[in-house]
Amino acid sequence: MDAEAQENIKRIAENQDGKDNLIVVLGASDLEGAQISAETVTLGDPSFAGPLAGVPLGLPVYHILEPEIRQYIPGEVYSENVGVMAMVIDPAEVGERFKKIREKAEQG
Amino acid sequence: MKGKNIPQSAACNPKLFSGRGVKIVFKGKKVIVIGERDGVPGPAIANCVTAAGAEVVYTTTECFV
Repeated sequence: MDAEAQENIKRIAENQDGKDNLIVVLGASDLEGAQISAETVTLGDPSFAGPLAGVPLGLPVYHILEPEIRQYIPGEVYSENVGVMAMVIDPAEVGERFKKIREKAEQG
Repeated sequence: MKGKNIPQSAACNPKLFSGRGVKIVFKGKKVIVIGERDGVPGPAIANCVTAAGAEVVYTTTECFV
């Protein structure tokens, strides 16, 4: 995640009254890259290069391909915007990976 | 118009689900969207979460080329 995005996310999170209402949704096709982005917005920038270095925002993070996310989005809208990627990447695997990411974030 | 004709089941479902302790429901949530050019771009994700009742507060689309 580039420094500009990190700075913007940091500012938004810090300007919220509480973080309970704020979540992050990712769309990366590379699950390793998605994992790094997820770690950046939960535990802090793992490369220690950006504004979120050492800043554990602890935001709940999800991937748009997770089956649990999909159930909340109208089918027509989901198919139109995400449909193709859901055929390329295994949603079940994404779901499992992100459950583990959230578990790790909860443990700090 | 985005978000119009949202099925009640999607937008107003009070059911929560858990990612082992992390609970989410889109309605009323503020969402930071981080899309990817070769995956699902930011605006496409934003359309989805908006239709589910969330408010998008930031959208970006990353490119790793």
